[in-house]
Amino acid sequence: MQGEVYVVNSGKGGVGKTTATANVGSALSLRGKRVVLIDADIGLRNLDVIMGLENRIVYDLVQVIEGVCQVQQAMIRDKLTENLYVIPAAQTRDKSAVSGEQVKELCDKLREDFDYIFIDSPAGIEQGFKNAMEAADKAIVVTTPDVAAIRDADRVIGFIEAAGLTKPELIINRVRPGMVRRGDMMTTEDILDLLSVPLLGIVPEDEHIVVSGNRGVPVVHNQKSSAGEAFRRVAARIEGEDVPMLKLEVSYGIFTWIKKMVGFKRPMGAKA
Amino acid sequence: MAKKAPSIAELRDKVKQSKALDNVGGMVKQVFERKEASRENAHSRLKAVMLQDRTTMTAEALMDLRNHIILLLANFVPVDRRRLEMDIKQSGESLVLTANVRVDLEPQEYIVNGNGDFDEREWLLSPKRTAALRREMLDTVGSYMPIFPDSAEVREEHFSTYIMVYTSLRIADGVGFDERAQREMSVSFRSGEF
Repeated sequence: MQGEVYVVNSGKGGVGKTTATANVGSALSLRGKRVVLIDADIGLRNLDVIMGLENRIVYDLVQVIEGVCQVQQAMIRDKLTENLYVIPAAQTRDKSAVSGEQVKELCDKLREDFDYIFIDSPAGIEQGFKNAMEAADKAIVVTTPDVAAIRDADRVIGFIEAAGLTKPELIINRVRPGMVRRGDMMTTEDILDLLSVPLLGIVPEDEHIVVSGNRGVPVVHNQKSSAGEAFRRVAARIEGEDVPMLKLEVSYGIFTWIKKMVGFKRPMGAKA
Repeated sequence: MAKKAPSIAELRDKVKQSKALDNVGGMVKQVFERKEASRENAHSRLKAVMLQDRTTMTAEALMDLRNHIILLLANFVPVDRRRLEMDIKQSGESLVLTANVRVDLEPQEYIVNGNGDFDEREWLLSPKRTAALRREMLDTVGSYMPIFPDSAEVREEHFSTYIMVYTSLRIADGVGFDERAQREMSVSFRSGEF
C-alpha cells in the first residue's frame, strides 16, 4: 500500500479546515479506506475535539517525532468509523517543536499502512504551514466566500504551487445560497475566476455542523445534513468518481416563511 | 399680530409626525429600492488586490502602465477608454501581457467576396501602422518590465457591432512577479478597477 498525503490549509483561520479534515477523512473511512488524520496545529489543537476523541489522548505528534513513543501509540482510533485514526497535536508546545523533514518522515512511514493521510495545517503561512506542506503530495485549500478568506487562500495557493505540489483543489465552505441569489455573496464562478484552481467541493452553511461539533461527531454521519452530503461527495471525488456538485437551492415558499416565523428552522442549504 | 411660538408639546408632536413619516418613507424605499449587489464589488476589489499581491509592481505602476497603453493605442485607433482589458497570464512557458481595447467606431458594413464568404471592407491598421504599433508597444511596456524582443503581436477583429484591437507581449522570465505569478497567473485589470 502506498497512501497519498494531503495537506488541508486555508491561510485565514476559522474557515473550516479542521471540520473539512475531520469530515473528508471520516467519509473516506466510511467508504472503506484506511485513513489517518494528523493535527499539525501544534499549540492550538482542535481536531481531537471535533472528532470527539479528546479524552483518549495519551501521546501526541511531537512525542512521536521526538521518539518518546511509537507512532501506533499516539494514533487514536475513531469511535464511529473503522480504519480511521487521529494523531493529535501537542497542546503545550509551539510550532518550532517539529520540522518539515520530520513530518515528512512520519508520513512516509504511514503511507505503507494507510490509503490516505490528511494533515490539518495551522492557519497562516508560518513554519507550521511549511512543515505540513513539505510532507504532502497534494493540497486542499478551504475558503469561505468572503474577501479576506479568498485573498488569503490565494497567497496560500501561491506558496503551494511554488513548493512544487500539484495544483491544489478548492473547497468552498459555508456557502449561503440565499445570499448568493441576492447577489450579496460571491458565486462559485467568481471564486474560481479569482483563484484559478480546480473545485473539489461546495459546502453549504449548515447548522448541523455546529451541532456535530458540539457532540464530537463529524457531520458526514448525519444523513440529513446538506454539509454532510457535500463532504461525502468531496470524498467520492478524491476517490476519482465523477460526482456532480451539490445543488444549492433556497426555498421561498409560504411554508418556509411560516416555519421560520414559528421557529422551526431548517439548516440553510441544500437539496441534493 | 405676532405669530404665537409653538409649545414644547406641539414641537414634540411635530417631531413624532416627522419620524413616523421618515419610517414610512424608509419602509417604502426598502421595498421598492433595489440595493446594489455587493458580490460584484467584492469580486472586482479582490481582483485588484490580488493582482498587487501577486506582483512586485505597485498599484501605481500598474495603473501607470495601463494609462500608457491607452495613450499609445489612442495614437493609432480611436479608443473607447472605458473598454480596455489588460491581462497578465501564463501561456505555455512564459507570461504574456495582453491589452485588448474596443474601438470607438461603428464597424464597416460587411461585403461578400467572390467565394460567398463575408469579408471586412477596411482594416483600421495597415501593415505599416501595425508594425509601428508593435515597436511602440515594446518600447512602452519594456520601460516597465523586461519583454522578449519581437514578441509584440497586434491583431484587429471586426464583429457585427464593434471592433476590437488585441495586443500581446511576452514578458521575460518573471522579473517583477512572484512565484505564484510565474506559475499560474491569470489576472486582469479592466478599466475602472484601479
